[in-house]
Amino acid sequence: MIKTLYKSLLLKHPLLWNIKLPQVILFIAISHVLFFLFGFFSVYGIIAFKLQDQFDANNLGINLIGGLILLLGLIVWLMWYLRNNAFKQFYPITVNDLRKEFLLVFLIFLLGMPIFHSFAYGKHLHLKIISRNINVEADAKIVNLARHFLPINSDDFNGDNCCDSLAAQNKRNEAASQMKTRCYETTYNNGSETTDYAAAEPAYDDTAPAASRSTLYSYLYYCQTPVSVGNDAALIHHTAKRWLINENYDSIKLSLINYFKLMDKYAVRHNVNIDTVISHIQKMRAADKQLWGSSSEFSFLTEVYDYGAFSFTPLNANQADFGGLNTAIENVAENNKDNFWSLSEWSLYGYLALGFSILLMLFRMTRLKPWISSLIGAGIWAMLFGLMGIFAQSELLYIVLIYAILSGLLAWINIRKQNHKLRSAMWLSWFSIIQLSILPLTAWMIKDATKEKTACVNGYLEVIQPAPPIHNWLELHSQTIMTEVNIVFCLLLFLFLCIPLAYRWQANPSE
Amino acid sequence: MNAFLLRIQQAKENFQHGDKSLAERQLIDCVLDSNELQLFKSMLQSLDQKDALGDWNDDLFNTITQALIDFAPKMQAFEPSATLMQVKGIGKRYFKSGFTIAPLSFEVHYGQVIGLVGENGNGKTTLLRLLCKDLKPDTGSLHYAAEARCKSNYELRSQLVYMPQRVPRWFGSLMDNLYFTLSCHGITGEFNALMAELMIARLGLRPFRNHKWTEISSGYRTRFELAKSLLRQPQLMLLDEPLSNLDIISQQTILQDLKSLSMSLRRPFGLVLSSQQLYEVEKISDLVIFLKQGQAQYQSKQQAATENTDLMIEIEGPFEREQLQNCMAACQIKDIQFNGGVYVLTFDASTPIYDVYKAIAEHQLPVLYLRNITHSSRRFFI
Repeated sequence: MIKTLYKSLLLKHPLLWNIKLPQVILFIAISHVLFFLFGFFSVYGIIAFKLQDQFDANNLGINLIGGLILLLGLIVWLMWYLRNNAFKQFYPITVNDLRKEFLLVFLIFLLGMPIFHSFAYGKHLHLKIISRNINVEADAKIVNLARHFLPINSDDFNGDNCCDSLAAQNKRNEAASQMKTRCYETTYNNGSETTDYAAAEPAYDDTAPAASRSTLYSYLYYCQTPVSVGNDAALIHHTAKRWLINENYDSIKLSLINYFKLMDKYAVRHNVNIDTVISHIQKMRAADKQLWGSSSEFSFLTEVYDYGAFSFTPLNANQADFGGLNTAIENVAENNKDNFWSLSEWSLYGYLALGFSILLMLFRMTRLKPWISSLIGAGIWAMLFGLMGIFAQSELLYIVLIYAILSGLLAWINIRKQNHKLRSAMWLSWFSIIQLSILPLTAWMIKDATKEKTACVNGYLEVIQPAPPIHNWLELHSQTIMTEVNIVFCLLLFLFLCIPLAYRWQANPSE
Repeated sequence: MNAFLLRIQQAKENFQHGDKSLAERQLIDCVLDSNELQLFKSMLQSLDQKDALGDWNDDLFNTITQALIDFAPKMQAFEPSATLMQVKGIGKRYFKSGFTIAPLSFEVHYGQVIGLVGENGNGKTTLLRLLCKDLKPDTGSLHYAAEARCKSNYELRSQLVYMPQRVPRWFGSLMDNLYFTLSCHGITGEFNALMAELMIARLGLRPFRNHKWTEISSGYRTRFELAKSLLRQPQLMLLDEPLSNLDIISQQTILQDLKSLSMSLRRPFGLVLSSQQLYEVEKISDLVIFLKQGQAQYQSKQQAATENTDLMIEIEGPFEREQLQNCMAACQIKDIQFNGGVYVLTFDASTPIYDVYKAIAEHQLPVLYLRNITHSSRRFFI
C-alpha cells in the first residue's frame, strides 16, 4: 500500500512526492504524540505543582532529546528532499509551483517546531485533570490571609514595608495623577527631567508616624500577598488587621488550620505547631499592641527541597515549605489558563518556521555562494542591531532599514536588467532574510516621529503637541505588528516579490 | 502513403532484412509518435514477449506493425515552422583569459543536427552554453521560434535542454528519476509510467531499469541522461560531448538514434552536439562547425555537394613517406603531411579519386586505412 501511494504520488504529484509530504507529516505526527505522552506521564501527581522545574516546559533533558530527534529528522528529510530540484534543472514549473513548494516547506517547519510544546501540553493536560476540583482563588485567599500570622521573614513585618489604608492609597493616586514633571530649561525644549515624588508624597500611614516606622515591627504592618492570584488584597489585609486588633484568635487559628490543611492538599511538607504560633501572636500583641522587636523570639525555617532526590529528611520544628505552597497555587492558576495554543505562542514558531523556510528555499532557488553571503548579510544585520542595542542609537535603526530596502531595490533592478548574476542573487538573498525587520522598523520609526512634543514651561514639562491617533494606534498594536502581522507581511513579501524575482533570476544568463 | 506509414514500412523492410534491432527501435519511434496509450501498452507487451522468446518472431512483429498501420489515419504530424533557432553574429569574450569566440551565424531547423568539432579549449562548451542562454553573449543575438509562445525566459529555457559533458549524479532509483521528469512535465499517471518504459526500451536500457546510479557504467549513465533529456520533449537539445563515455558501437547507435528521434513526426527537435568523434558526427550532421581558437569554419552537406576544392586523402599503413611519394607521383600530388601515424595527401581538385586507388593498386601499397576527407571538416584540423 505504501509503495502504491509512493508511486501514485510520483506519477501524479511530483512536488508532494519530492517534498516527501506524507512521510514528513507522519514523522511529525508521531513525534507530537510521543512527546505529548512523555509530557503526560512525566507528571507524578499533585506534588508536581510545587516543583517549579518539573512544571516548566524548558526541561533540559527533554529539550536535548527533542532537539536530537528533530535534527535527525531534519537531516534525513533534507537528504530526500534535496535530491531533486526541478527548478534548477529547468523543468517547466511556474512561479505558483515555487510558491506551493515554499508554503509546504513552511507548513512542515511550522508543524515540526512545536514538538517541545506537545511535551508541555501533555504535562499541562495531566495537571489540569489533577487540579480540576481545585478552587484556586479560594486557596490563594487562605494563603494570603494566613500569612499575616506567620512571621517567616521579619522584614515583611517591618514598618517600612507596611501598606496604606484604602483611603490613603486613593489619596496618593490622586496626588500622583496631578503631579507635574519638573524640568530645567536649556537650549532644547525638553531639557533634563526629574519627577518630584518626594514633594508630592505626604505621610499617609495610619498606624505610625513615617519617621519612626522603619524601627518598628508589628503583625499589623504585614502587607504581602504571597500568592498573586485573585484581586482582593486590600480586603484580606483589612480582615487580618481587624482580627489582630480585636484579638479574634479563634478566627486566626482557623485560618492557620486551613492553611496547613492546604499544605497537605498540595503535598507540601510542614512541621508547625499552630498553638505555638497563636501564643506568639498573643504575646506580641499583649506586650505592646503596636511594637515588635527586630530580634524576634520566634522564627520559621523554610524547607529547601532537593529536586533530584525524593528521600525526605525529617523536618525541624517550625519548618515548612512555605514557598512551595505559593508556587503550587500559582502553578495551578497558570495551568488553568486556556491559552496554551494561543496566537502569541504560535507567532514564535511562525518566526522560526518562516526563517528556516526562507533559508531553505533560498538554498533551493539560488546558488551556494549567494546563499552563504546571505547568511553573512544576516550576520551583519544582526550586528547592526546589536550595536544599536549597545549604544542605544536610534539613528542606527535608519541604517538597518535603509540597508534592507536598498538590498531589495538592488535585487529588483539587477535581476530585471539581467546584470551580474551572482551579485543580483546576493542582493536577493540578503533582502529575503533582512525583510523580517522592515515592518517592525518602519512601525517604530513612525511611532518615534509622531510621539507627543513637550516643552519646558516655567520649570515644568508641558505637552505642546499631542501625539496623533496613528501613534497611539501603533503604541497599542506594537506587539501584534512585531509578531503576527510581520509574519504575514514577510510571508506575502517572500511569496509575491522574492519568489518571482528568483524565478526570473534563474533564467538569466551568466556573464 | 503518409510519413507515418512510410516509417512503418522502413521498419518492416529492416525486419525482413534481418536487422531486427533497428526495426524494433524504428517501431518504438512510431509508437512514441502515436502518443496513443493503447499502442504504448501493446508495444511494451510485445517487448516483454520478445524478451521471453529471446528474439522477435514474425507474428509478434506483424501484430504490433498492424496495430500501428491501423492507427496511421489518426496520426497527426507536427508541422514545424521554418527555423527553430537563428544565431546572428553571436560572440563572447572572456576578459580574464582573453579567449574570444568570434561572431558566429547559423540557423537550426527542426530535425536538423549541428555538429560542433574542434580541439579542446576552443569554445565548444561556451558556444553550447550561449545557445541555451546559460551565458550572456557580448555581441549578436539569438532568436528562437518558441520565444513567441513562451511567457517568460524560464519557460523558454525549459525547452532548451543542455546536457553537460559530466553527467550530474542522480539520487534514488533511475526509473523514479524518469517518472519524476515526466510528471514535472505534466505527463502523469499511467501515461507517465508507459512512456518512461518505452524510452528506456528505445535506448536499450531495459536490462538496467532497476539498477542504481552506482551500479551502472558511465556509458549507461550517459544513456539514462539522454533518456531523461528526451523525455523532456525539448525544442532544442544541446549535448556536450555525449559520446565521450560510449564505446565505438554505442557511439554509432546513439548518434543514429538521436538523428532519428530528432526527426520525430510528432515532436521534432533541433540537435546541437559537440564531439571529438569527427567522422561519427559528420555522418549525421547537416552542418558541422569547426572551432579553432574561437574562430568558426562551417561545413554543410549542401556545400560539400557544390564546392570544388583540392582532393584530400587520409591514409595509413606500414610504409615510408618516400614510398608514398613515389606511388602518388603520377596523381598530381601537391602535399604530404604526416600527423600521428597518418598521412594526409593533397591533390589538385581535378584529380579523380580513382586515380589514387589505381596508383595504390599498381604499387601494391600495404594500406590499412584510407578516407577521402575532401569534404570533411577533418581538413580544418590540418
